[in-house]
Amino acid sequence: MPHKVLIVDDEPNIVLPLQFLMEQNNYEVNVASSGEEAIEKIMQFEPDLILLDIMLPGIDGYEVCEIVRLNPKWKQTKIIFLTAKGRDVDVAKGLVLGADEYIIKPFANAEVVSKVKKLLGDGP
Amino acid sequence: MSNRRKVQWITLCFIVLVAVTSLFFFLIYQTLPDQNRRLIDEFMGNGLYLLFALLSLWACAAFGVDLLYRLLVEPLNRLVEEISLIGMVNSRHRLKVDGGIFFRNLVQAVNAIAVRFEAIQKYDQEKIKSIKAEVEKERNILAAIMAELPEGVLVCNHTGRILLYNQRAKQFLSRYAASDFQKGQDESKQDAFVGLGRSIYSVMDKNQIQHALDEIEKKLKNNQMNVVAYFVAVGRAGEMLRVETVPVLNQAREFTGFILIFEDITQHLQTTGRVAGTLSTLAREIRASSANIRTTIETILNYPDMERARLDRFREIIHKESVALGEIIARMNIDRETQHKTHWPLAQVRLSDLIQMLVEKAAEKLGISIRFEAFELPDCVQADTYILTLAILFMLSRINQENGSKGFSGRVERSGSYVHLDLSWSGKPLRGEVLRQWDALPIVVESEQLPFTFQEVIGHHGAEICAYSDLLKKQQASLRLFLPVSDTSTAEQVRLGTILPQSRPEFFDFDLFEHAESPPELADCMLTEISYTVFDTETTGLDPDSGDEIISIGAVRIVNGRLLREECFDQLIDPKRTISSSSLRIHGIQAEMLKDHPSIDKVLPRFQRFAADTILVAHNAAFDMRMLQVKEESTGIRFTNPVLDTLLLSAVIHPAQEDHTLEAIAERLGVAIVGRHTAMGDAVATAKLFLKMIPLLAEKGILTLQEAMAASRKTYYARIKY
Repeated sequence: MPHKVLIVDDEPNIVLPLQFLMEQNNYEVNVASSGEEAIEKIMQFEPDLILLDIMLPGIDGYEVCEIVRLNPKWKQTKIIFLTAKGRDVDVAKGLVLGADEYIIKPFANAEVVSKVKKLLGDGP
Repeated sequence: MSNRRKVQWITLCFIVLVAVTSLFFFLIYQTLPDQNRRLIDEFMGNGLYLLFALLSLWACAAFGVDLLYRLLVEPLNRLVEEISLIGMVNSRHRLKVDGGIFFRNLVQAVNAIAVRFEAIQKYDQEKIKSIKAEVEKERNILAAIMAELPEGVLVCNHTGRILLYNQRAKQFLSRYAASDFQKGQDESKQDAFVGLGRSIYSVMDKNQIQHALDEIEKKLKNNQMNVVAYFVAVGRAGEMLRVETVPVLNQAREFTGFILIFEDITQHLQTTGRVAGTLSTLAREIRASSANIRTTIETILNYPDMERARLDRFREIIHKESVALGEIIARMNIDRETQHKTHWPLAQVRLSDLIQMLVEKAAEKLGISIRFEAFELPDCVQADTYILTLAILFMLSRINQENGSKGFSGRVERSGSYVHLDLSWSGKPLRGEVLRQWDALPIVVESEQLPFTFQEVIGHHGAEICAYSDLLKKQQASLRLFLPVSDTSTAEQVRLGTILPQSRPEFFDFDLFEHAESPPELADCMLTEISYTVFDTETTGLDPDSGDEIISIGAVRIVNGRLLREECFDQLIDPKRTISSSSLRIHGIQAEMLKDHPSIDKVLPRFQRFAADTILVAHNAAFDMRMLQVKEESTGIRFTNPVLDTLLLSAVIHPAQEDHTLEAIAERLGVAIVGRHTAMGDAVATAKLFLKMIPLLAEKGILTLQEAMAASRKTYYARIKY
């Protein structure tokens, strides 16, 4: 069974290549473009890992992270923040809210793939 | 020479004359033949006895006069001087004149009167003091406010003489004129001194100020409303001062002086310059990369049938340029550049102080207790403590409303360029959703309300906030506030608070406005109007010509009859030689204490600038001046200032007194010496004595510098050479 990855971002131009990238690495991929949609998809799709943007319409990425972490059912779900917010304090805040990784845009595809694989135990 | 000595000398001369004449006649008498001798014997006869009788009478008279002088005239002279002392300068002084019963009774009577006089004078002085205090109170409040203004303020008369300055102006100008020999600037302005009565042009470029004044003059002529002129002064080490020049006009709208208002714009210019530079580079580089990407992509889109090799090459270009774009942003470090920047005016505050205030206010206003874990962070944060504390109290009160929590634990930790402040409680964790709702709420705590929302306060402080719960401690919820750590490398100015002075503060003297426009020749200047540098040196020994060196110079200024304690020069000097044990016993300065201090060739040029355009005053100045003089050749520094000596002036004022040491004069004039045998202590004591001497000299008709110097030269002590 391939691992499931949920991509949450309101910017389709990054979602498309990311989706393609994840699929090429044999992950089952689903996409959400807002915080609310993300919560819905998490409940239905039950991803193993979420690539989560912070600046989202409605509920922001921090809150999505918080909701995931407060639900014991999703305790094992890995979260990677994928965001343009690059201040020290943004990283610190993301990690304190329970994210496993924090990647600042722009990033190299290889970096994302490597971190996803590592968190899902698919890495070398 | 005293009168008593004169009488003794005349008596001695007369006796010698009589003895020599007698010997002369005796020798001639011996060479005469017997017949002539007999004639002379007969002629002299009783006359010889008469001569001896006359001589004896003369000796008795001389002895009597001397006795009379010692017992009556001398004590009377001293009595007159000391009574004058009591009346003029020191009402606490008491007579100690020896003499017979007549004098003892007189001394007792005068001392009894002195006691009454002192009491009356004390009462009068108290009364005058209280009236004066009332009069000066308002002026001093204004002066104190002036001292604490965030801008530097300096007032000059139209010749550029400084009449007022506040500490901020002094700090700005000291930094502005700080040493930087590398830049080849005018060395005469190195370590320039800002002080009352000094010229602003010794610190700042005259051309720039003159240009501003010319501009003002034109505006005045044209009857313009705004008569202010601005310029930017660039300091030696790159400091930038924005200077506002405001004219001071009299009733007839004539120019009588000007005010300079300084603002240090160095940091502001550096920051805005850096940001502008970053933006400009960013725009240029992003434009170039995006142009490359766009052209390549559009070519691919316009020519879909291009051959595979060219298409691959174009893809490579796009990838390379997109990587370059990411690198531009990373290289510019924009996040770091902007993360601590907030436009809200905040003050630097110690984290420990902020927390202490928070704990106290929480208990006082909300009845909430916060127990902070001990921490040893020395960090400071930038905060408006009132609104930040109230915002945190607002959070606590909301949590209290939601959970009923009355007890919180607190923790502070450093996290990169931030400190985070955790407030934890037992109970339900706070949801991010709730925090989001708070964002839009105005801050209200009890009866206090801020005109800001919670989000605005957090934004003003460049802070971040989040709620979290520790997975290991199930029942514990926390709120984390991230506050940017303040950069203490650009330390804020230390401000000790305003203490209203009892006497007129030393940084202003508007009486100088009234001074004559073109002063008379210095020699004819009144002693009361001259600026003085009163100084003292400590040395390795007492023989300047055998290589003894200066190890300390202390100096204070007297301007317009006021001792300016704040404008002092206090410098230890490495003599690069041993200190004689006799000198060590006096001043207690050991050679080891001087190792890291500058040598005399570095100190003398600074001292010369400090003393520029003043009269030098010292006690036993001949010694100190000789110490400076022997250094002329090696340092090239020559002190050509006129010199007054308090030792000589004391001899002028009180010729009947035998002791003119600093201690003796201080006792006579009622001056306490603090720090005797330190250069600074002795300089201050000398200055106080000198100020007391000026009215005593005036009583003797000595009013000008020339008269004081002439009178000094006539004293017996003026013959002492080193």
